[in-house]
Amino acid sequence: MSEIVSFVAIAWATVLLILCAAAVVKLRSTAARVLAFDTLTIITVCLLAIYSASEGVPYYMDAALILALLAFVGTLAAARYYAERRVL
Amino acid sequence: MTLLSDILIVFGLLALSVGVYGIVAMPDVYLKLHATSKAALLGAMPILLATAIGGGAAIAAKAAMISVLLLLTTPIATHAITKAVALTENRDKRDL
Repeated sequence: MSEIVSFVAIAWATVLLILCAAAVVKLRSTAARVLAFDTLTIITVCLLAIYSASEGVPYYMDAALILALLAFVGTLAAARYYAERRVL
Repeated sequence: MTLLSDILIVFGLLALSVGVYGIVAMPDVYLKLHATSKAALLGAMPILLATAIGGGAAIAAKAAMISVLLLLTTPIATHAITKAVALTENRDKRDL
């Protein structure tokens, strides 16, 4: 991708990250907070992917992969604990 | 090729922005889920496709792995949150 688009995309994704983090802090319902945190990790995965492609370094994709995996497990555990007060 | 990946990245970021706006603007958890779960996936897929096009072979392989993982796990996570909200609907009304 071109230089200017990768710069603008990284800045844009950072603004989205800040907005989503503000939503995690500000929202009053617990389920909406879990949802906002899930979206936060998806945005982080996208940011790492854009950065990896713009730098040409494949190692950031490993971090994105592990982050996607752990965010799924975390969301599942948080939702289950919120509903049933137990994880397993 | 460069133009294609640029367009895909801008489209994906627009879809992600719609998802974040849905979190902020929707009044209800169900509506937030409805807005976000589709928009986030629709934003992540074009961005990962663009990185697969623009990067090398290693980046493309890992982007494909992340795409499959997100496609499999995002609906399950959304369903878990929806089930949690539905189960606790009568327990604490203010949490809706």
